[in-house]
Amino acid sequence: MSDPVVQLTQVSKIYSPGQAEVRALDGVDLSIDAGQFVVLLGPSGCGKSTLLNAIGGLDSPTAGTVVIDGTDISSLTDAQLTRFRRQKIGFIFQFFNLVQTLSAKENIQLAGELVDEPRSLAQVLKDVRLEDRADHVPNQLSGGEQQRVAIARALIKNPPLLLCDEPTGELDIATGRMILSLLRTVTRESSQTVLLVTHNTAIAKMSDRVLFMRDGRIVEDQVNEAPLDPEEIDW
Amino acid sequence: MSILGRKLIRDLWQAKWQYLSVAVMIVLGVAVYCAATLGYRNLDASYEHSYDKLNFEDLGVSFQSSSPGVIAELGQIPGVADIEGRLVHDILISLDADEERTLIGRLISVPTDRQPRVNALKVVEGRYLRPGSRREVLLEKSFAEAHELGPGDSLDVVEGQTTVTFEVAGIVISPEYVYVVRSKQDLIPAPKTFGVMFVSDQVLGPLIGEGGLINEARITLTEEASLGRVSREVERILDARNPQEPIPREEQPSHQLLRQDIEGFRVYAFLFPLLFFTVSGLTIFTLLSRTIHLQRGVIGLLRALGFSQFRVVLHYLASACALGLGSGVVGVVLGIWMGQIFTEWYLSFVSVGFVQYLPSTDIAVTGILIASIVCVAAGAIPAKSAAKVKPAEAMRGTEPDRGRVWTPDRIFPNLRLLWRVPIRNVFRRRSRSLSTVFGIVAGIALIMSGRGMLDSSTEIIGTLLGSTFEEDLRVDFTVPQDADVASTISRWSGVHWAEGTLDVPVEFMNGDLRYSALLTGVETGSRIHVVTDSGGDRADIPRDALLLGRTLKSRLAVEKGDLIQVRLPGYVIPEEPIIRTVRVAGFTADPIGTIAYTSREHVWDLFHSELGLSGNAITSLRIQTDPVHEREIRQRIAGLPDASVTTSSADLKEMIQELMGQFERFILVMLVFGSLLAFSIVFNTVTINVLERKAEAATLRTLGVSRLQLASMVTLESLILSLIGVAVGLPVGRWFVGVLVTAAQTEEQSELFNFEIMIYPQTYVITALLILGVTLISQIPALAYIGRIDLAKSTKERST
Repeated sequence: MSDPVVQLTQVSKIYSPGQAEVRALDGVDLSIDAGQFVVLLGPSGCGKSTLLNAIGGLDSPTAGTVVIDGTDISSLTDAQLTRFRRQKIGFIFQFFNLVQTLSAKENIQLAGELVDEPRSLAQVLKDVRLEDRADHVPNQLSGGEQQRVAIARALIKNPPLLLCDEPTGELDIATGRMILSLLRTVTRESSQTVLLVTHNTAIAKMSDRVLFMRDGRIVEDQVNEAPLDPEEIDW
Repeated sequence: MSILGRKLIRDLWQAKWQYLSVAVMIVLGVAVYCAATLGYRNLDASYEHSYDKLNFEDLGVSFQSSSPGVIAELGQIPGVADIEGRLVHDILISLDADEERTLIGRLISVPTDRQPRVNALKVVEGRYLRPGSRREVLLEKSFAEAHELGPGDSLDVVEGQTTVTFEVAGIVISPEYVYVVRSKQDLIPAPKTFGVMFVSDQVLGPLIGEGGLINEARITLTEEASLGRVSREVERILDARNPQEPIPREEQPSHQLLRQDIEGFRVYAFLFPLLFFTVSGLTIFTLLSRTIHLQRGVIGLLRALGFSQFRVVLHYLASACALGLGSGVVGVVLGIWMGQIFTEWYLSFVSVGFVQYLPSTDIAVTGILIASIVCVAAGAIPAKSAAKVKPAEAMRGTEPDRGRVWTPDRIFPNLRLLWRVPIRNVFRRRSRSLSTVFGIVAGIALIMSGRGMLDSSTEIIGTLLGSTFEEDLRVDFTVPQDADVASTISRWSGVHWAEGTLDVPVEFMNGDLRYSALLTGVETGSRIHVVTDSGGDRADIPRDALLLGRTLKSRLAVEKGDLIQVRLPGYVIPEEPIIRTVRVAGFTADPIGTIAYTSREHVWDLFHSELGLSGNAITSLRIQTDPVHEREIRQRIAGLPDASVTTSSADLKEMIQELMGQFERFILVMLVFGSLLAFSIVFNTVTINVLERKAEAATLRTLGVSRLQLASMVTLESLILSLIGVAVGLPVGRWFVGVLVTAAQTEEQSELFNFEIMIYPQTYVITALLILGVTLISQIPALAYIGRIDLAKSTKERST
């Protein structure tokens, strides 16, 4: 059996705004195998995003170790974290976060320029079905199209791990389904691991595994034996 | 305080550094306006008051030495208020402390029992001449200061073979010599080489062999008098005494230079603040537009809650108004202080008799008003757009589609996208980029205005004294000499070349048009007089015709080939006016346009009998020397009869250094102000850009773009703006220097001085480097901010 892509051991994150101490993550242990599509659920403020940030190298844990694809990122410097994100992580955000001055194609290429062996632009554009919209700038694209550009931007670097933070939060139901379906299909084809954070429980039905968080802890870890096609999900 | 009031204060506090940088620009604009206006007014008032107290002439006329009885006749002309007759004579001065040189001095007779009725003197040290005093002089202040002379000191006056020692009785200020210039042809104040002295009318006449005579009349007019009519009448009465053209106050050399300065301050009081206020206005517009854009949701909410459009406009205008009022008050305080400092500094190198400091309340009020109006006007458009925000649309966060914009990075197909982003950002926000470029251009214009004025002044002095006459020493003789002296001096050790010229002050006439100027007779094949024509090519000096300066050309309205008349005023008693007709062969491009050139032989031909010139006469020498021997040569020249070194390359260097010293503060102030202006605008632009692209920057960082790469992207964007600014700014800066010079000159002055704008290459280089340096420094806060961006938080924010 191969090593897990994500391996967290007793990860804690404690904030101290003023005198009060907030334990955003409280001794989290987590292991995610390659190729898994994992959905992380939980109410607002339970620590979902903090966990995602710790895994993505955007935030450092107060205690514990975070090993991603064999690299312990807990003690990396800022420059090392930057290289780590460049090679290992693909981010997909709720608000798409595209560079407004670049076309769809260029937004994808920009990420490709950062790695030594990017995937083919034409293939990625085909994967996200954006060939005919490639030269449009973000404000000429719909929300769904923008999120497809964001997915392609994450995919072109060919990272082992994709981190998605509420990727359908800004989209209507039909578009959301379409995006999830696309995400599921393209990552399955390339055996990429996906960790998707959402507060929408319905999305859990499409995942291989569902994690539930509360008060900074993973309180439930379910394996979904029969994931649904996103098109079948109703929310 | 209302909730909106609190919000306003918090908004201002949140963007405090940006508002502060705009405030700095407004403060400087108001300060420069107040300082220049105050300086202009104080100086104008001081001159006018001094002129009034010392009864400065309205009209002056020189004529051949005559009996003082003519003054009574001139005094009868209707419109003449006061008149004073006097004897004026240029001599040599020998100072103990300055053995190697003699200086040119001007002795002016004054009565001892009273002050002169016209052009009275203000005694600033010592006392006025006592009745019956014989060997006493009053020294003009700047000459006394230049040579550290005071009451009780003595100096030798050399007239022909006679040397007379005078004791300094007092140091005086004369309204005629606020700027001590010798003539229209020597408009550069040179207190070290030219001194004005006032002696008893009982002493000067006998000393120069003209006892009981006068050769000048100085006149003031009544308020209702007609200058032209009095002037014509003066000429009519003096007709038999061969008068020079009467010179009205407006053309009096010292007064002309003063007016030029005052006019300059008036122009600066308008142009410099205009730059600051325009850039401030553009920055406020950008800043407020950005604030309103970021607060669209809040504005939508306010409107939805029921706040009227007017209330919303008022809310956003209040910040602009507060900025205007606050900065205006600080600017006024700073400006009035600067105005006082400036007035004192300026008055320290001119001899103004009575200094006046005027109240500055109206200037203060105007300064605050201008600042407030600029701010409110600049904020009005964004504030109005805030009121038009549709609540529902604003709260949804949707924006009008901006579409795709062509940007020049497409010219480079292989350019990495990381470097395309900053290029596109520059061209995406065109109005913001334009206002930034404008601010940089304004900064460059300010920096160049100081250095450009210095370069142009240095150049004119260099051209005048260095290149036009490629000489190291110029020697003037008070009595014409034989040109053999040139051959003798040529053989002196260390002398490379010496040649003589025959200079005669004359009056040129073309019909009714007349102008007094210097006729310079140059050696055939001169190696020293390099006269250029209007095309910049070397012009040959004609044997029997004239090359005229541009002032003469325009004043006499002559063209090449015309015949004009040359009249010799006041040398000898003539039976009839001495007038010769001469052909105009062409025109010169000399910086001072009041010189006419011909051959030395021609001048001799024209006037030798009247002037009693020997066959080979010269009045001055131009000498090229070995610098090592210059001091020794000067000492030998001091031993020659009737000779004085009036200018030398050493003097020239000293003069340029002095000029630089005087300009230093002006240049420094302009440099600081220009840099601050550029800093403020670039700081604001970069800060706004980074703030509004915070999410974009954070996203790039999460993608794996390093801090250094991100900082380089921001820097590239700033540098592109800066380089565009420099490319546009340098020619604009040169143009601005021209505007300053032209606007500060009266028509007569621009005729007198051919003031070519010259900016040395090092000025361009220094300015460009300074601006690029300021650009790099001004983005440091923004780069530091980028380093502090919370990636997790910022990537969750909606992009703006």
